[in-house]
Amino acid sequence: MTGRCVDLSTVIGTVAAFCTTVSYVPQLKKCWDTGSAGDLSLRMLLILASGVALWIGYGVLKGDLVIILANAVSLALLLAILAFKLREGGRAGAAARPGPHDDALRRSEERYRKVVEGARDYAIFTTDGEGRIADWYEGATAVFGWTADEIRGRPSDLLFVEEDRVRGEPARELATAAANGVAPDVRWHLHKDGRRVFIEGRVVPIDSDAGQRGFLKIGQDVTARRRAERALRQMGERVARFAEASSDVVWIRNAATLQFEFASPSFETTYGVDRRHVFAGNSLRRWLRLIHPEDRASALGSIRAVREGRRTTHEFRIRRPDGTLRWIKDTDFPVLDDAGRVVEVGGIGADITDEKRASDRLRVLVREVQHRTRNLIAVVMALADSTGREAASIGQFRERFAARMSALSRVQGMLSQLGDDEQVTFDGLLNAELAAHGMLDDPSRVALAGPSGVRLRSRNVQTFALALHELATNAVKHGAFAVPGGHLAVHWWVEIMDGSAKLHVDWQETGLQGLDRHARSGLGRQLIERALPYQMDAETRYSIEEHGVHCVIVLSLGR
Amino acid sequence: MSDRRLLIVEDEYLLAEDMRQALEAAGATVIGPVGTLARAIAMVDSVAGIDAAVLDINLAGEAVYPVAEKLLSRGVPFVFVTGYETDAIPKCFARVPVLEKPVDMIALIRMLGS
Repeated sequence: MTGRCVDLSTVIGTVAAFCTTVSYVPQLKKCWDTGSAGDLSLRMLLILASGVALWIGYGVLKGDLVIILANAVSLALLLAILAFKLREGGRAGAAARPGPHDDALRRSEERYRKVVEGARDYAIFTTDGEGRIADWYEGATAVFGWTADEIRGRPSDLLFVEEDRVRGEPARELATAAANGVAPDVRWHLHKDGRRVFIEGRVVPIDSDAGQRGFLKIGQDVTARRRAERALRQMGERVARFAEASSDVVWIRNAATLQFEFASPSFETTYGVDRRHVFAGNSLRRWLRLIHPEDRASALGSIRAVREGRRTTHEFRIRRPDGTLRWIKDTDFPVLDDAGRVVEVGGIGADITDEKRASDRLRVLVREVQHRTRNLIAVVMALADSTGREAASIGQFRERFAARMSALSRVQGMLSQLGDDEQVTFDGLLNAELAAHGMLDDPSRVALAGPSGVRLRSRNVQTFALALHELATNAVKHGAFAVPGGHLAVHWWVEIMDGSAKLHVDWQETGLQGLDRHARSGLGRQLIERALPYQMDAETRYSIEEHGVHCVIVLSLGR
Repeated sequence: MSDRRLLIVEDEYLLAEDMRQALEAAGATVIGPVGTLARAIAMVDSVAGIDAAVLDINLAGEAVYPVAEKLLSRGVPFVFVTGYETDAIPKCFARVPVLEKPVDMIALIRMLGS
């Protein structure tokens, strides 16, 4: 070792000693930081320490300072590591699974922690044996509003609503959990801001950190779901009340069997049978039996179509037990489950008998109105024709045609004002015509005698009115009312012969002198002598007597 | 149509008269007119040599179809006249020409003349 020139073996030995010694430093630092020797083998450490100690002995014997120093430092470092290992071994001495299993446990705990902290929809917290809050996770903050710092150490009672606290529910819940190993916790709870949240959860006893008994409470906030369910239930009840109150039949059938599952009370008023009678046994067959045989196939077909997922509207007749026939209009629709399968067939049935009658009646009326209108136009054209043939000038045509149109219009007015069972009466018709010609203005010139209220058949009224119009017009123009002192007497009476009633009308004008007995045979005479017999089976006689016109009409009134 | 014998069945006197005058003016011999179903049947049964007929469908509330059937079975051509929609006419008369009221006399004469 002495001398100026350093021996090569000394250099190599020094570098080697430095490297082997320094190599322990990172391991020791790790042990220092973690407080554990990790997965280093105790046996390996002991053998290594023995080896290093022997190296020191070797160096002493050889008198080699480098070997002695290097191995002394290494031994010191090794002993430090060994100390960590031994301390750890003593503490974990009882642990059955040392080594890599510790790590797995730690990872598992880590997972649980993350699950608990991540379950924001679940309120999870622990309490000590007296119910004071210990651990408080994020989900609990989200549900109850309290932060962990605010609530830790406070009694969990404050999460209960007032009435439950008064009844002692918090203590009872913990007692149940302690006794049974679990207690349900399904009730309204209190949020920090005072509102109520409905929690569905449970309480289980756990061992707390200090080895004492504590409790774990896990619950889900189902307030929104509960409100939705309640709203749905209330809606269902409301709909049910509608169904109960409806005059339409609301019904539901099983889609597979087509049997009734529900029918509202109006089923009984509509079909005239007790629901229980239909529901007992095969309700489809019993229902079909109520339907008119001709409509059964289509009614069944319509319901089957709904089973295929279609909506249908169909009409059918039913026969009530009392024999009356009613028309039902059913609107049927499929009721689907979440998967879109038809599970029920629903329907609303309305008794449309009255509507149907009304619309049938309306259809008849419209047809009748059209018929009458076309007939009326044809009559107008015929009157225009006849008037044209007898008129000497266009002025005369206009005057006579207008007068006849007025008569036609008067009688149409009377007909249109009639009610269902009303008819135009003879005296009504006569008075209207005479009044229109001003013949009632002087009561001394006219004598009317006969029963009032003699009803005329409606289809005869128009022609009869035109005939009376012609008689009145003639009287004013050429007869009793064309001269001073003229007089008109109209007598009528009803005669019953062989069960059929006949109206006799006697029209007698007087006060004229020297009339031409073969006077005009215009439309007026034609109507009386030809139209009334033709159309009304009337017997008529029209004669121009010495002092004025005398007309007799005998008219059948029917039954 | 000077030698043709035509039956008129129409319940409204003024319309029957109108047709009678129009057909007579065209040279035909008019049988009737008659205004009730019973008289129309009696006429068809008793009068021989009817060449053609014009039938108002509604005769005072009664349908003229029994008369139409008689004419059809005898091969006598005829024309319906109606104020109603023509869709109410029974199918067996589907080939019978129909004139709506008010009747176009020129069309009527053309139909009965052929």
